[in-house]
Amino acid sequence: MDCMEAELRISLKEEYTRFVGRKLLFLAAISLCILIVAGISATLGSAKLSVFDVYSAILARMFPGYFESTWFADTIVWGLRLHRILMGVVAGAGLGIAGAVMQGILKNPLASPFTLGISSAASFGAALAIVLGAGFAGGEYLIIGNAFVFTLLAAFAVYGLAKYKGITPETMILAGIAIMYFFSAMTSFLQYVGRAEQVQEVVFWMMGSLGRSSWEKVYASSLVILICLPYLILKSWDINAIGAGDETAKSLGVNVERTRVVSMVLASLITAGVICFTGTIGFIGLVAPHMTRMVIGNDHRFLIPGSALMGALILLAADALARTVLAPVILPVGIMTSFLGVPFFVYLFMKRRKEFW
Amino acid sequence: MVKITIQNVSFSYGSSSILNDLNLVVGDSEILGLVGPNGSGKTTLIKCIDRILKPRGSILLDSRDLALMSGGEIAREIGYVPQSGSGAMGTTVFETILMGRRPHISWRVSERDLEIVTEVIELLHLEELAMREFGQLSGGQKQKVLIARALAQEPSVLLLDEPTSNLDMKHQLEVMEIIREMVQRKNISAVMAVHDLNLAARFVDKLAVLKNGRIWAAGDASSLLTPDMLREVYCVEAVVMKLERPFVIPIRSLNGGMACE
Repeated sequence: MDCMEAELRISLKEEYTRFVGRKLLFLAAISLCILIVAGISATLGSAKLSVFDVYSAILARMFPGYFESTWFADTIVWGLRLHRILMGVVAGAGLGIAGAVMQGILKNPLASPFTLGISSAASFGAALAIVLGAGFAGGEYLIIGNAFVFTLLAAFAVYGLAKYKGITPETMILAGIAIMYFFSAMTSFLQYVGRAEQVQEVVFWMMGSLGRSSWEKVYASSLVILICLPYLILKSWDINAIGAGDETAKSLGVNVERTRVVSMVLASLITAGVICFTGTIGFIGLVAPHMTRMVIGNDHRFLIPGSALMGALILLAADALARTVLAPVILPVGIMTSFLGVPFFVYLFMKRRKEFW
Repeated sequence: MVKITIQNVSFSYGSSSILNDLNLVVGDSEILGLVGPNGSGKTTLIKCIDRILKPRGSILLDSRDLALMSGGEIAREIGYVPQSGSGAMGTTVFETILMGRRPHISWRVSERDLEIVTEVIELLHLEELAMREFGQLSGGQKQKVLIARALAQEPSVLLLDEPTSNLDMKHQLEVMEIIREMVQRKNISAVMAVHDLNLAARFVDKLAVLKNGRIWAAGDASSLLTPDMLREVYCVEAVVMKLERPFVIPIRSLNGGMACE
């Protein structure tokens, strides 16, 4: 190998290393934005706290000897605001991951928990609990349990229908659309027969909100994501290969059908683990992966964590706005995610130079 | 030395039979060209060799039955270049070629993986395109990148499904020259479905003529490319010039019936 060849090889490798470095830098930048927005978000409310007060209160509990805080700040931050903010981070991350995985394995830019009928099933489960009081769990877990179980039922129904005709992206999407219409119709029926206050509660649940958060719910959602995420990250190469076509993926040694089914089930489980606590928050699962893809490309080793961070950032910012735009009225965050995200998405879409689908 | 042995291979989609009892051998460092009209089973046979489709009968790689090997083991031995330029959208040429390392890596990209990818990029003179988006390339460039991806697998067998379809004359020659060079340089065997009989005559070592899912004949191009074969297999009246290699000049299509039975 002569000198020129050796130099060229080093420069190509260096170029790729820099290319990967830029992706990591983007992930770091989004993480920093999340920390900043979370800090600002924790200052919003009737009790006036500065960003400094907020972080002092957080750090004082984590490192008691090194940081100090007041009882007032500690109570407000840890007792009232932080779990809501973390629920926003966890829910946004979960929906971002689910969307990125679904779009990747189905090779379809329109795939998301919403378009595959999963969110509609959760809404039906919640409506069933609210209107008829029927469900899989009792007491305060009635709505949560129903939403969770129906989400998974929808995922398995999509899988079952697709399996019947052979599991391909097209059959899964068509099955998802059929399931979405089925559960939407069932929910509409329940709203039709329900009393006015029940219908109002169903509608409010379907708009999605972080107002129902608690520390237990944050832990539960986080646990579901932490259990499902390692497989999806480990299978990033396989999801990349599936993006190049099923036959190409098979020729690269990927078990396409198993990867598609397991990833779909895990993405649905993550969705279920989020929306059973928050209600259906639309848009994030669809758009957070697209926004991330426009910046760092389609390599799922980076796209999955990137979509998680982007989803968290969008939901966090949307919730902060939802709490301030018409304060003291708090808007449902599901409305705000679209108001905030669509202009940003359109901006990126208009500016994009690359072909993604 | 025999590299691939195809024994009594049949394949059908439901009740529709595509391949019927095929027997073929491919030697070490040999290019086997599969020719035949549309629907004769060339692509299906290539997919069966790569176990993308699961045929009846057996296909041996060296002396190992492919049906008993895992997907990963097969991918470390056989590289597949699909018919159309399919690469994942939103990935660069470098990333697309790096995907060929998937059978060798678990998650982390090693120094050796990068070394092999850059070597393949140099071999195929793709340096200028390395950081370009795959989706923005021309057909010929895409085809070269897909060959590079298959070579990054470090295979001992290369399967190519009509690698020159949709390419202009210059790119057809360039792609075939690359395949020829890689087969010689890396000591690999290749099975290639080809439509252009003159390209096949020039670049392959052996031809297998398929018709209706059966091997009509197999051998060297000089003995197979004859007006009789073209009439019987393709339903085409043609002149075959006997130059250094046979050169086919099609005259007119025949309208079925006895002429091409």
